[in-house]
Amino acid sequence: MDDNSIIELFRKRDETAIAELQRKYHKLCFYIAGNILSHLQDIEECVNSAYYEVWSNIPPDSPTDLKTYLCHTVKHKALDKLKYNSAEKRSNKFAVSLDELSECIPDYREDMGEEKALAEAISRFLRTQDELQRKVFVRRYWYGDSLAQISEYFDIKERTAATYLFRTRKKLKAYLKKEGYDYE
Amino acid sequence: MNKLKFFKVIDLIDDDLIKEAEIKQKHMSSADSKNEKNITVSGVELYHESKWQKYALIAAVFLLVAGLGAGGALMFRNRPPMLDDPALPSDISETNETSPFEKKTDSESATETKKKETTTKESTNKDTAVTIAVNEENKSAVTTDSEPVNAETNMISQSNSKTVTTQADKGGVEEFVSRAQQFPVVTSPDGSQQPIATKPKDYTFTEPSEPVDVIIVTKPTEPVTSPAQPEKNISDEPITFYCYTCPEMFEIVRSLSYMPYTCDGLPDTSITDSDGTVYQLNFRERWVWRNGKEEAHMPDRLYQLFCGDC
Repeated sequence: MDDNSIIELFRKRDETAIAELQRKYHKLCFYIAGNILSHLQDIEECVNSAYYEVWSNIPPDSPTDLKTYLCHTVKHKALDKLKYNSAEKRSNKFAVSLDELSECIPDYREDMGEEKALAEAISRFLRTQDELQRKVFVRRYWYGDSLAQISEYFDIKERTAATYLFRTRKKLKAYLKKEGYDYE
Repeated sequence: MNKLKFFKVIDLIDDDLIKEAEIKQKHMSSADSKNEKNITVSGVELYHESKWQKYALIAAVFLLVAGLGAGGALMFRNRPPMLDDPALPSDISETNETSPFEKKTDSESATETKKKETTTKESTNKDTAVTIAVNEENKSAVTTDSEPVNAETNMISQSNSKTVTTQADKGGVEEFVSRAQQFPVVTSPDGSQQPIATKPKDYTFTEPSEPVDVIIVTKPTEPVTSPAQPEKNISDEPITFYCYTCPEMFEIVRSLSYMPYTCDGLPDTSITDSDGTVYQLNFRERWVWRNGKEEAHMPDRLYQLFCGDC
């Protein structure tokens, strides 16, 4: 069943919409949540929460891309769950990627909407980069993939992927400085 | 600063960038399997089945058992032979009634041999030691249907018995040598003549720890030679003696004056009296031990009886 049909089922409040959504994107949702959370129970809870939120938000929401919309939802839930859990329960591989980002992304105030502007600046920057390096960056910091997974996906060495990420972070930091963002 | 804020920022990037970085399904399935493996499940032990380890363990146990069994079988096969000598007469003594050189029939000698063996086997606590000399050249003409040992029993010629009395002649060495060479016998308590074993050439006498109940009978042609023992003022040449007994020997050893033994050494031979007293003789140092506790100097006559010329 295609995405539009599933969205139509959500609009009609047909409960088979969740079953169809689960059948099509359950592995992807599990994968995204698994990159952030470590415990199976947390992952299942996160994915189920995402399904419930999609059911609640459609309608009124009418996403053009159901897949990306679902990925966003799952990731938000996973991050909320991660925030709820203690710092010691984080996945080691996830902590590494957060430390890497902290070097190139400046601090901002959440209530002032700065995060949206910062995200747009990062998007503009990524579009100026090489396609492979851009994909590697997104896989690493949005999907939460490890270097081994990234090297397998793109058929490159882990060392090469690490080098791409390092250079992209360095360039991002320079770009954001140029955009006027301060680094303490 | 809370590092989750960085993730929120990254999460807000454009959707087309996220969609561009999507991975095809085949890659995702392999990644999912890896991710599922990476998912930790608490409270449950992971079982990794390893069949080759089970087979290796079985093979190792089998090899161990087979090795132990083979080693045990080899050790059992190569074990030292048990002491299973035939019984020696325990109470060999002299009687004046009979001559050691009387003629005996084959059946009588065989019967007496059997009788003697059963008698010695019954007595277990007596210390008996008889030196054994084996002569391989002259085998006994008297064969019996008893134990193979008795096949080498000497025949006592009638002619010699007529000329030789029970008392050992106090004559010369030649008579002694000829007599000892031909018919070494021992007079048993009941008066029967019992040939005694002769000592092999290379036999070294050692005092037995247990009573010896078997007599191996042969006809000696060569004298027994004791190994040279280092002793001051004594030559290192081996002492030659003839292994036999006669009534005179017992008279001599009984008549000696004994004292608590002081010397330390190995006897060359021993003789057992009718009352069970064991006399051990050392020809090199010329002493006699009685029951292993008392010693006396060996008279020349006794030495001559065994070794011939002094």
